[in-house]
Amino acid sequence: MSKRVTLSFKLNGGLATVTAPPAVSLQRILREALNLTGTKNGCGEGECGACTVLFDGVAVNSCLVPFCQVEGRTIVTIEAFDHSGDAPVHPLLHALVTHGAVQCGFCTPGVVMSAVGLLNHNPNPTRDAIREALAGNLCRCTGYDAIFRALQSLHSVSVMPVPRYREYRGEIRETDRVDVIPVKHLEELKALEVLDSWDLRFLAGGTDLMVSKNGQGKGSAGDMWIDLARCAELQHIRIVDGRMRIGSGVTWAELTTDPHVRQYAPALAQAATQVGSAQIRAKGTLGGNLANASPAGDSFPVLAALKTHVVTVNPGGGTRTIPVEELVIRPGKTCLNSGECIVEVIFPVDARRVSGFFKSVPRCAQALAKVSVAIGLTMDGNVVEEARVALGAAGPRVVLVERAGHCLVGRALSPDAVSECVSASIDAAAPIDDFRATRDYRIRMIEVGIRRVMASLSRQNQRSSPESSPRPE
Amino acid sequence: MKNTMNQSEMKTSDGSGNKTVGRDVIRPDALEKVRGRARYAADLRRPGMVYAATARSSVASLTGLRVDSEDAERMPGVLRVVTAADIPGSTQVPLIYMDQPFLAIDRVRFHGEAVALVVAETMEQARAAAARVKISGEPGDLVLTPEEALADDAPVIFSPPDGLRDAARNVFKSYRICRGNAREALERSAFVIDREYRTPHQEHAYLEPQGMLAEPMDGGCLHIYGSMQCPFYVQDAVAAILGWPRSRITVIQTATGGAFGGKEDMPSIVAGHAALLAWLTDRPVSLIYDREEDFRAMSKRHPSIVRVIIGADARGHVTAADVFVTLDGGAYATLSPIVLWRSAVHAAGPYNWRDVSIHAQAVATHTVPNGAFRGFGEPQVVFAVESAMDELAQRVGKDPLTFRRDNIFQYETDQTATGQTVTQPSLMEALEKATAAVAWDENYHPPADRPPDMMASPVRGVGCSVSFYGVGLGAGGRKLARAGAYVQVEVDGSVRVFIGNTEMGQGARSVIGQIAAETLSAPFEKIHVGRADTSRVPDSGPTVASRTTVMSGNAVMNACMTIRASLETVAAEQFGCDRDALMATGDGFACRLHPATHMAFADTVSHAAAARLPLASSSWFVSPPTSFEEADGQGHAYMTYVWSANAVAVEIDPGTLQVKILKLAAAHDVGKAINPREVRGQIQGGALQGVGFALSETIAYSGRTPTIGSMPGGRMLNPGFSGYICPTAMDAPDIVPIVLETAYDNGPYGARGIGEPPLIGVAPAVANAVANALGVRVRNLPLCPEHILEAIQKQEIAHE
Repeated sequence: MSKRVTLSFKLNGGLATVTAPPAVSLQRILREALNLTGTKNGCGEGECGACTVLFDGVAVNSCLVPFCQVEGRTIVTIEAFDHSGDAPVHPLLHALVTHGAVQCGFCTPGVVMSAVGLLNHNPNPTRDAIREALAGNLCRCTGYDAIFRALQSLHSVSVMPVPRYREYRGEIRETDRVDVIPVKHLEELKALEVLDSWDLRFLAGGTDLMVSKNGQGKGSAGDMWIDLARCAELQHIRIVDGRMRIGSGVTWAELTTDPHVRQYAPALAQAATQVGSAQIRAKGTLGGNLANASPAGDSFPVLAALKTHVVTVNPGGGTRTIPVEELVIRPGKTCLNSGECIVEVIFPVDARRVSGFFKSVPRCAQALAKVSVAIGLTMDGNVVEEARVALGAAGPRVVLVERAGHCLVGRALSPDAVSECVSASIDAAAPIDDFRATRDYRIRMIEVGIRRVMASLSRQNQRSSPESSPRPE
Repeated sequence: MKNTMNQSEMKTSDGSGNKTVGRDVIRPDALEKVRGRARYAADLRRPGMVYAATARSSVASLTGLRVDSEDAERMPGVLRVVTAADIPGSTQVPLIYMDQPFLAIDRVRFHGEAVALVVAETMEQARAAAARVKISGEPGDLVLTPEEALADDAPVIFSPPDGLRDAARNVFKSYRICRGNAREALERSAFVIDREYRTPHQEHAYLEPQGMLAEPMDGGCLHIYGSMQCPFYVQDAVAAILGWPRSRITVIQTATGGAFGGKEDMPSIVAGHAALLAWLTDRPVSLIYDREEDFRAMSKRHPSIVRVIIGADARGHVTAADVFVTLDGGAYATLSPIVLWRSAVHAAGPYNWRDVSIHAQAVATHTVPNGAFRGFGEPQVVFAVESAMDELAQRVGKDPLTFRRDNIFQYETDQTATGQTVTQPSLMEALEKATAAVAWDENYHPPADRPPDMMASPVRGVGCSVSFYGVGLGAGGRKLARAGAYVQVEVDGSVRVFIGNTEMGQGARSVIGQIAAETLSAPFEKIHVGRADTSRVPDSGPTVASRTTVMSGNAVMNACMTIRASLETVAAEQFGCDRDALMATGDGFACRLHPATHMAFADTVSHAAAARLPLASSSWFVSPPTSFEEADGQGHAYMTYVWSANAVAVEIDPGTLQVKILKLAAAHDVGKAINPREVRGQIQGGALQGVGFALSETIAYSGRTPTIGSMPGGRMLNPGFSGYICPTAMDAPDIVPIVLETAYDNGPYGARGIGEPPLIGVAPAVANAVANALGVRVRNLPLCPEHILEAIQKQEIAHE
């Protein structure tokens, strides 16, 4: 049984001090310990967005934020907008009400918080930017249009609520089975004595682990968490000696915008923009996606195409380097030992390499890949020098198409070469029939994905190598 | 909460002379909702409150059911574990049949069926203990499709009680509608289409899961608070499970976070469970579902198999329709008989068939019970018949729009399948406006011969559909076709209004408040429409079938007219004129003869109170008569119909086969838009649910859908928002609402209703647009890429 912990955080302009088990969700802290019931619970797995709050100014799903990670943070909930008395209605709320954007109202507080998250850094968003920011907030009543119109009617108004100082105190009396060990430095991790009795999990962004904790996932949440969120040594993106090193704690949101990633690993940036929703991208990490070992995990094909190695540390201090395509043994299971932690990924940076990503999805956001394709080509002018083609959700683990090199290396990206690569990829894949997609469709998407990515890489290469006339041999 | 918004932003009057009706007033619940102040079931707290959770079967079919609760009872915080044996009253949920137990007895008929209840000090403790209840028995044979259920040697899931007509083994109910001789007429027809169409389960995906609070009160009474559409069904259910008189049970609806039919009958079970536990423990009991159990155990839209045989003569006029409807009812009858009735009545579409035959049946399977969902049996048949009409048009050699223009209801002599003569059919106007909105004439092209190559650029197409929707319960539910209201004007000029129908997001409190304001000539801000409360108004039937505006609206109007007589009496006396000379100003009265006179509403009320005139009134509205002859299915099925047309422009990526809706235009004749903004909101929101039904939403079951490994059959594979694909903000297309207003004589201020029609006709319009774009007909929803690919592969085989 876990001990309860007492933590403080900034809340709606005031200070909150709460005693509760460390692994319960921020949503429960708000609703149960503090009776702030404007934050709703619609799913417990970060899909509906009804529990969205601001975490250090960024919209996140409070059901996926463990209590242990809120210490010292700044949380803003819908109640910050609930001025009593004669204070005028906040312009954002006013716009939603007057545009008919409120029907059943259950999604509305979450919509407000996502809108604030957007408007704080983009005061005049386009409709597409609004759609993207709200893609993690399901609304089943309005058809969304009234919400879009409401947000577009606001012109550069300050959307931050007026802070009011207040002290919030509360507790959750229950204990639960999860204990949390925070790790701020890798040295602490290396020094950690892992007990056999522990059912250990690493906690990073919480976007998968908290789903299990909330009872909504298939997997168990374990009983001992090592919290990596404040470990600064896992947060880097840098280029050292011709290699990109990305810390396992880097979030999808950071990968989306990082200039190095966009320049040298565009496939990774493309994959990152398509992960989940804004709330998920703000919290979910690269290392978490790898450790979760889902056959549909978007990081696998991209990193495999970029020729990536995963670096781990073990309690006791040992480290390992594993090619990313060998990390997973079977769905949900990596080759890592208990307590072995993914620290960073490393892949070579080469100005002559182009990369691209394709993801077949059932909808435009919050979508697991039916199939994904990532390709990395190192080009010598028009000729392929090295080729890596990787497929996601096309087998129990990422499929690195071995014969791709054979089909492509030493050739230009001719239709024949691409067709051979398609055949080789389909041969290498072992897609399944399940409720998310049929095997036939997955095979078709492997072909469509490869042809589209190749076409786009061919264009990229034309642009990046102006001396595109064949080099003298 | 002080309402700091004013209604000054309301649009000006629409020329009808109405002051409040027809205006975009700000709905009274919007502000508390947007501030996070509205309290939903899970937000309620009571001193001493305890929490309940449900133990459910993880096997779809069990006989010799055994429940071992020893471990669960020893879990921390647990007060009690309860099974069917602990029920003091009726063990069966009262609805159309009494076939569904509150808690399973001897048998389990679907995966997720409630078997036992746990009550504990906290929700986590209750859920942890519920997971420890051991449920066992002999696994029975599984029946997962209607075809299997109808086989001669099928295991029995449902056997009709004695005396039940038109039901059989594994058939909950069947209907037959017959006019003329369809079969003969089809033999003589120049063109005939005979096709089968299928639709899947659809989940309501209301954002607020089911939830109830049951609170023991003084005097042996019980109060129930929760998320619901039908407080009187809940009252019935609680009275039944406890064996109590209804007078001791008060049901009060709390803010309801979406319902769409999913909170019609299902809350009866949730409330029954909470009430039972509250009575057994003498504590307030909160029972809140989590999303996964809500998916597994709560009703869905019926999957359907609809065979449509329709014909046309050589000139392209329709001749006869022979339609066979099979709905998958799931494990229990719940509302299937009445859903099926609506399917049957609408199965031939709004066309002038001379001869019609409709057979409809609802069949039992070992899957979640299916029930009410926006459209109530119509989206399935409309998908089938509107798809078939396009296929017949192509056979005849006409474009689908012309073919519809030639054949839809147009005159007040036209007759529905049940022989009902239609009134005010504004279908043509709806069709013209909807198709014009997608620039049909520019965008329509004859369907492609075959689909384009995988790497080709996107292809486009347009499609349309027409539909009609019988407002209210119709003859199939005529016993319930009445509604009460209670209106009380306070001495300060504020007004309380109570109705028996609920606000579940659709805007009922706004519409009812507007009707009251208009009828009393009171400012809208003065009206407070209270929450539905069974102790305030008599049983007014369910909040379903787009009936609230007509039924409760009329009841409120009637009550307000009585009070208005008092107000007019004092105003006339004050002005020294006859009541006939008075005119309503929207805030009291003036005298036509003396333009300078005016008496504000509050002053009129104050004078009327001083004169001791009655300022409160209850009233009762009974719907116009309807009829249905069981033998041949003929009769005046519904009091009135909403006429609707949808038109869609799509773009399809030939590689991924993903359908993108470029524009969806939805035209609906609502009679009168009491609150036009909310009507547009109903249209856009309903249409997006229709888009989900069309493109992506479906429930998968192991044993019916390919599954990995050796999972037992009958398990729902996607019970959550990650696997159940409803549209996000990035998927929502441009939806253009078109509101037509042909006043309905019996409706309040001419209104008909709008809740359900917006969903109904979307899927066939999309399917028709896809067929137009690709040259491939997909006859099973959703129109996901996998189904489109299947259809392409079939067509390629056919071509070879």
